Amino acid sequence: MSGADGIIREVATVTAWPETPLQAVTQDPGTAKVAGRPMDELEEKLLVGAPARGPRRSKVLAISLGTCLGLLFLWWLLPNAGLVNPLLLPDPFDVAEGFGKLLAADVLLHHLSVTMTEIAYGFAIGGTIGFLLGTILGTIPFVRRVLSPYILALQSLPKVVLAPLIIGALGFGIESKVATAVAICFFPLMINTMVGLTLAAAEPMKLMRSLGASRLQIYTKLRLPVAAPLIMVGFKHSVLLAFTGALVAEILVGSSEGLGRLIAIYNQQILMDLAFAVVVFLAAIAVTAVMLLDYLDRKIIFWREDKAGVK
Amino acid sequence: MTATLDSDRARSLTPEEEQRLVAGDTEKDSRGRAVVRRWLPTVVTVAIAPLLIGLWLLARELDLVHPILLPEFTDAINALREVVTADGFTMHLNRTLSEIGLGFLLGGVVGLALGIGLSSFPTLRRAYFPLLAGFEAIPGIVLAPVVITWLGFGLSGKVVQGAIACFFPVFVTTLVGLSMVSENELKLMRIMKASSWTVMRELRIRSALPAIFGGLKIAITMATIGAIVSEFVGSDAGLGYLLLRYKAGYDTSAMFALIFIFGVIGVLSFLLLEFLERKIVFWRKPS
Repeated sequence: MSGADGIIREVATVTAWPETPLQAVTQDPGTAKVAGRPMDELEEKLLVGAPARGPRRSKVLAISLGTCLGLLFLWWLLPNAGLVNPLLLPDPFDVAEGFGKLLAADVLLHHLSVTMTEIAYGFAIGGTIGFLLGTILGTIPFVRRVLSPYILALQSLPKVVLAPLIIGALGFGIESKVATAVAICFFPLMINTMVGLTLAAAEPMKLMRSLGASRLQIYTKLRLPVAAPLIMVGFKHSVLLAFTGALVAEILVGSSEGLGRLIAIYNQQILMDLAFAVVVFLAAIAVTAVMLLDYLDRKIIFWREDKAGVK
Repeated sequence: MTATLDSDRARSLTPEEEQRLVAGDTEKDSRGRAVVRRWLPTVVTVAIAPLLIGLWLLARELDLVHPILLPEFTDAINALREVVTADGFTMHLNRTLSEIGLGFLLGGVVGLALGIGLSSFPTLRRAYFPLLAGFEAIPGIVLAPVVITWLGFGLSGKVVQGAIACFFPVFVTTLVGLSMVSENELKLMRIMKASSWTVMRELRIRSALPAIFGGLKIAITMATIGAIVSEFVGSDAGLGYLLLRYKAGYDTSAMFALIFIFGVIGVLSFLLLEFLERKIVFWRKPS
């Protein structure tokens, strides 16, 4: 049983890792630390392996911008040089034009509001459920031990397969999309909250107990702050899965509205410029949502920087 | 998070210690109490399954839920047998398994190669990481209809969709894993004038393996989801396709059976990776 517990913990910690590299990898040269103090030139040369004067920020920026432009050019070139059928891959200008058409026809905003409502409800409900269940599992060891094999089984089930069942039960309206989003998105937050709450070390815990702290105090002053970084990562995964859930349900449902439905319809009619316009639009929204959460993450968990190591 | 930080971190409590500590339970156990404490969780765990089945039977008995949503328990068990023995089931199963397997292989290889490649060039790594992190936020499902329009209803579209879904976890964990080396080992290798390729081969890849396996475990789930979603969007075969057909026929017990089979596939693929990890990363203590 503790084996299953261990596996769940391991997976949750690994999903948390995408958090660390951004800081580790994008660290500026000359700011690497050893034993708590900044490295001197020789140490950095020895340990980091790069010359003390590493790539400048402007050079890095130039490379990433250059690559973006290069990819855009490639995208333009492929259909225009006749390498790919322009019907299947419209060039960026066609897509921009398609986006303009959609805006002019007043289609986009209506479907956007439908999809965003589904995602917002799904995430609000799924997130609350995930956090509450995670809190129960994280703070009551008995419940956690008893349920961990069931959680492991549920974790392995690809939850999208529940979508047809949910649509069958709730019909073609907004309810089925919200329910699908909830079913898919509550899980990562539950796991990350659960694991995070068990990460508090033995010594501070014993200290708080011996000072007569109540369970609530231990929870708010020790467990929750320790768990916060992992919980924020769970939030981010949940938002993205709420997107997936709502879109899967939209695409599966026969006749209805929403951006996912729009993409499916344009694809069936081979209106690829319009389909791509919606895809790019949706991608931009998802990226913005994650950036927003990253920003909140940095604001809420302001102490995280102290923990980030450099290598 | 560095390796040194990890070993410095104070150990967290085991469930038993935590339970006793929070409950303020300081007495030493009597013999009988110790036995109860030891076996009670196992007993309750085992008891939950029949309890759930009992609830199912009760809900059916009292007709609390419409039969289209919740079939009879015995019907669901029979449906499992019928679904598995039905004509063409092996074909659908093979199709879905190859979609998952090939998608996982393609996405995994590309993710590993790009992770190792990028980690060798710090400038490129710093330039591309934010871009790739941005791409990671795009839900892969928005591409599913496009991929199907391009590649058709057959196997190839599903493989590509699965590969797209499982590329990122492998790529990111590889990149992170390769940068999580013990400082002292790195120092030692540099002092002994190891070339950067030797450091990569003998140190970085080895210490990254546990992280990479963590990524692979996520990736196999993502590949499964990618394949199923892609089958939902448009397909001519596969278990996801079969699920939609049973849905169209309002055959809920068969849908329950298929969902159970998906669960089995999920657990088995996860256990397969666990097994491989134990064989390949043999020096690591099992959790």
